[in-house]
Amino acid sequence: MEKILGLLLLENRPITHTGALCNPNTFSFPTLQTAVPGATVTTIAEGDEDVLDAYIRCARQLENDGVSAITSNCGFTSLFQSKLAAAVTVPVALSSLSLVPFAATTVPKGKKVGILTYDATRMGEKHFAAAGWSSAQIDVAVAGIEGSETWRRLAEPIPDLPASAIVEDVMIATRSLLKREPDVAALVFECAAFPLAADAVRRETGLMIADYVGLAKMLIEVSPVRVRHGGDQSP
Amino acid sequence: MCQERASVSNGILGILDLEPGSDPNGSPVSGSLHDASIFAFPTIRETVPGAWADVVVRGDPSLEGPYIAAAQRLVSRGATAIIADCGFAIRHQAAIAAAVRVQVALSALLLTPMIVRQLSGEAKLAVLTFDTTHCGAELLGLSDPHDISRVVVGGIEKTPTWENEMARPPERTDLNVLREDVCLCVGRLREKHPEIRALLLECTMFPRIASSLRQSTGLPVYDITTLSRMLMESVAP
Repeated sequence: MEKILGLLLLENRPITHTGALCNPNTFSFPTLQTAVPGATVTTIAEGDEDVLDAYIRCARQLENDGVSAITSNCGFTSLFQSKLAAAVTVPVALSSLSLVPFAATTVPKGKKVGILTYDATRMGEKHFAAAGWSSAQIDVAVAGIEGSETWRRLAEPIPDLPASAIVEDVMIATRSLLKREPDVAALVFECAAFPLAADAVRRETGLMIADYVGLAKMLIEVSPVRVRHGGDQSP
Repeated sequence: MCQERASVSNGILGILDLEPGSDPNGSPVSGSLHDASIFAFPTIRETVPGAWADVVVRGDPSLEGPYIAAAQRLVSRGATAIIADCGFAIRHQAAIAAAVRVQVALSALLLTPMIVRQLSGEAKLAVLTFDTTHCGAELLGLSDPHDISRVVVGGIEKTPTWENEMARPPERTDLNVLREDVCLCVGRLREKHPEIRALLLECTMFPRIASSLRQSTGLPVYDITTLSRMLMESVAP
């Protein structure tokens, strides 16, 4: 039986351009996507934890539907990592921020990991702590696309913007980060819309970029194939 | 402009090899790092002079220079990222990362912090190593005592697999022997620590049985091939 990746989505219609996390063609394995009631770009980025119960419910449903592993399409959901990992038996890695320790191990001492996020003004230590690390342990530099056209559009219920706009806004934010922080030696993309810009940024900067797509592929690779027994697999 | 995301990386993975390197006359062990078919990207290898398994496992600071030189040879041959064909090479991670301009991730042990922190509260990670007597907490990349207490280490020292690999030159281990030695170790660990929720394979011989471990335990299994694929997925071609 094939392994299926479960995706816990925001209610905003996901970005599905080529290369994006939520484009099924990005992967060689199937995905099962479910929108979490009450979870939006705005509520999650503002740290609203009232939707935790809805995330747990949806994760259990995905597990029951036979997924082998679960992730989400918003890096700010790191806040729910521990509770969701406890609520289901399949591997869970909600946030691309959990890749920061991996990126950090590959950079030489004295260099930094750059984090490119949807909104740097809303991303902070509590998101890092929930993803399992702190800025005291890992030297990071954070930059966001706040104020850009992509930032505005992604917060709309049905974001309508070309891939080129996302690539451009991510590129601008990256350039500005590297100018401000020349010691950045690897990047982690927090936002699930950013992987479609990763190759362009890699080509221009030569930097390693860890992102949601890499996280999703790793999750599926390490997970066991689910053995189904009459469809009921409640923990 | 719409960016196509390549499904296959254009980069080359460089592998730091133990002595005596690849056997030019032997066929590669299927499912090992010598088996080119396990990756969708090309690999190149450089043998580190003096890096016999028994020396690398116990650790020897005098290998640092030869490891760095071999890594530099890999870069000059076009490697875009570097790993090592022995998890205990992690001791040279910082020195090699500082000496070359490509991404370096020598050992699956580097994944320890990420995996531990993805697990819930009291769940534990089991690290399966070639030799527990040399796989101390200092190789796990964790500083918090609570995090360290959530990792249990089990090894296959003194088993037939271990004896084969410690010989000079090493002897090939039959897949069934390897599976039996590792599965016995996993069974013992899980009996003692039922809260184990993930497995991490330090030893680069173990990916041959990763898939069968996933199915027999129902647990996620991370190894050097996981790290290699993630690394190649992330680096600039």
